[in-house]
Amino acid sequence: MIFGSLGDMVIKLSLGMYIYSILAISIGIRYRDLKFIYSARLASYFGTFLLLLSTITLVLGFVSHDYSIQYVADHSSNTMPYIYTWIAFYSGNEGSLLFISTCLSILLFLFIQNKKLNDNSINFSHLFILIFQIFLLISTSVLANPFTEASNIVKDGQGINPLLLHVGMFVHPPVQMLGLTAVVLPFSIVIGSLCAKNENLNLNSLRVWALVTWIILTIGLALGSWWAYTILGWGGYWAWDPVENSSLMPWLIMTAFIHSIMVQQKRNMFKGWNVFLIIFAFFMAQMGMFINRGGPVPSVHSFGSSSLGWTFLLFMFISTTFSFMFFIYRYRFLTSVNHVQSILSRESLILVQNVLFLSVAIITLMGTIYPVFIKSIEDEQIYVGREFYDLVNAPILLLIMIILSIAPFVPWKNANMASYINKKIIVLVIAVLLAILNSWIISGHYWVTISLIILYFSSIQIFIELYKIFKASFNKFKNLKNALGKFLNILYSNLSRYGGFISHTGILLVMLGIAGTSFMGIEKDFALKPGESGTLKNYQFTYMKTDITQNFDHTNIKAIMQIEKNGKSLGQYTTSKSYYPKFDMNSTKAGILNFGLEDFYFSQSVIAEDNSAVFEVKINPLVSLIWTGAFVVVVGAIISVFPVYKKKIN
Amino acid sequence: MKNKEKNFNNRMNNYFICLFIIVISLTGCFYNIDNDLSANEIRFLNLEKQIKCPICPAETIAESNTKVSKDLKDFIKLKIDEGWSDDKIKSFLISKYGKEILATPQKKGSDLFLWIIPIVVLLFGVFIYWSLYRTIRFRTKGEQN
Repeated sequence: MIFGSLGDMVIKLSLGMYIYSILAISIGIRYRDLKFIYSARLASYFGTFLLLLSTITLVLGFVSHDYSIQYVADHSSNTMPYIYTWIAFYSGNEGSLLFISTCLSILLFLFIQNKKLNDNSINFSHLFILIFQIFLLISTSVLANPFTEASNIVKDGQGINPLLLHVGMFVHPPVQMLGLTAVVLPFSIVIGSLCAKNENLNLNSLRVWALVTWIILTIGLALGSWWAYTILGWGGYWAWDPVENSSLMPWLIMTAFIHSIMVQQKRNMFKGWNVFLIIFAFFMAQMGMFINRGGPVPSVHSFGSSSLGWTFLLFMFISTTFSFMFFIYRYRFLTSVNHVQSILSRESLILVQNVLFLSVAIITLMGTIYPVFIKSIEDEQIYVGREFYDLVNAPILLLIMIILSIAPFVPWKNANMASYINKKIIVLVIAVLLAILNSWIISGHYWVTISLIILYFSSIQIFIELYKIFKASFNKFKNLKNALGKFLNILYSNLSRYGGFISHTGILLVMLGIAGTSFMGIEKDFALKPGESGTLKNYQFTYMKTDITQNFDHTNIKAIMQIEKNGKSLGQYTTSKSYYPKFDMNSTKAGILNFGLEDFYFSQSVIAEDNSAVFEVKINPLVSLIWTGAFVVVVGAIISVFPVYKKKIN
Repeated sequence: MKNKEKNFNNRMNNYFICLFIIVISLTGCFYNIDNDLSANEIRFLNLEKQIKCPICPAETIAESNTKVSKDLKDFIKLKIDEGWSDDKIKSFLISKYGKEILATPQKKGSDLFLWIIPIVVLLFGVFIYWSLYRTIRFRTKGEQN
């Protein structure tokens, strides 16, 4: 009982804190009074503390099974292990809203601490983050309060959605929500700088926050695809589902953005374009929240449908309209002296890449909302599936990858096409030969060869650059130890570039993995009776038996397979399917055997009375490269965030 | 002058040799994957990804494990063996379940609109690139004068 009223009170108190903060900061900016700004910051710090307190209160509510809180009764049960409290916390609308606003308050705390009080662009950014935070808190405390009292107190709660009981769910949804929320920071920094007429757009801070947001979004996407691969039992890591699209779109725009702010940093160009991109990214992030929160598009992942989505939609329209109007109003501050001088220059290629990323994002958005249009016009439910996205987006993404292997190695400003071809053609030939040799060994498909060519073309150029640096430092010292020190020092002084190289290599590995699974994957359905066996390529498998166990809340059907590869026995593996009668929900866990690059994947579908079953068996070559690559991407991106901090300390 | 021309010709020759090598090597990579599937099986695997499970939120019959999906799969297998074309199977299913049964709209009729969107978006992209490239150039030239 105590937790419900305490939590409710604390949330409302924090809302009050933030409202005070926004008033104080407005007064502070208007009358140039640093005391008010200081006070506003303190209020924001205290707001963070209060939100953390209410989070703890809700967690305590879960742990002590306080079913007088409606949310706890709906999303947990007596038998739920304590470790799932973390998942139960954000498994519904109310809890996830509280989670988002707590995360945002922490981000805000990190953003404003140690910043100068008289920096007006920071203060304006603070103001815009506060507006979003207050919107979130009003939604939380009025429309979807996690601390609402239950009308009648039950003895045992509803329990948790069984699809969420997976290791991936401990990390993927919170990271995804955090990523979508974090987009508000770069957005506010840009709009805040515009308000303060800071035409530099507060670039150092902006770069760090944009990269951090991008890293979080990347981790969210990678974990989500891993979860889909292992638990949904489709054998697929990506299905172009509306909810997946909604998390991909902000990522695409943010990817364009972190590249185009580089042009602004080096060449002082593209300012207006950057502002446009970040407004669009914020729009996409809110679109994502809207679709996740019970948007109108049917999806396999829609878990918390409610009318709350429409509030987000309204806020999205208002914020986008106002920021675009403001952007146009301040457009003349954003003109630049420099210009694109050559089509092959790095800034020009980055612009091409930006436009392509934007196109993929817009096409995906159109595909996602097209069914809604058709439904409102023709009153007919239709779906837009992977056939559309694969056909349309894959060539554009391929083009982006080709640009990726060229752009980092052409100079800024001026580049001569003839001398470029002259220099690189030999690298290209070597890359093609290596790729073909490699492809021949793994008997790769045409598109796998193309991906390998791009991968080699990029990597060889990276090696050449590193080799040149090393050679220069060796020539200077003539001593391996000193030369190595100098070499590392040069790398360290330009971490953003070399971190970028790592990320680029990672994304090319992801591409190779995707090409491998899409074009070289083999799948077949097998209807087997116990004792029967099937063969797919060099794998032989025998269906042994089915174990059915009755648990307190679900029935688990486990099929056991004896698997052999090249005539050598690998032992027994299982694929299981659980049915949760309370939710009328199935959760499938596929059997996956990993052999370095190749996965052997099987999942059961229908099991008849006589225990005969249909198995979906797949061989997914190169699939593990997708997650390895994503990991490399994240590592590279983290490395490239560093130097700005280094500069700050000095 | 003659020397320059000669150099240029030499360079061009080198390019052509390199391009020749690339083209020749690329022709070698049309590998066949030995997945011992018959033509009908491949057709079925393609088709089952294009048909939606009628009772699931957003899964195709390839992904879904429901009874209806299994029946639909069996139906499609049967019709493929009977020699129906993909289009005939699809239009039969549409007449029975409505357009809802397709995972992706077909490229005809009113749904052609969906397939035109990407082309429009890309054209617009070309326009954006061109206009940014030009206006920035143009403005700077004006300022310099």
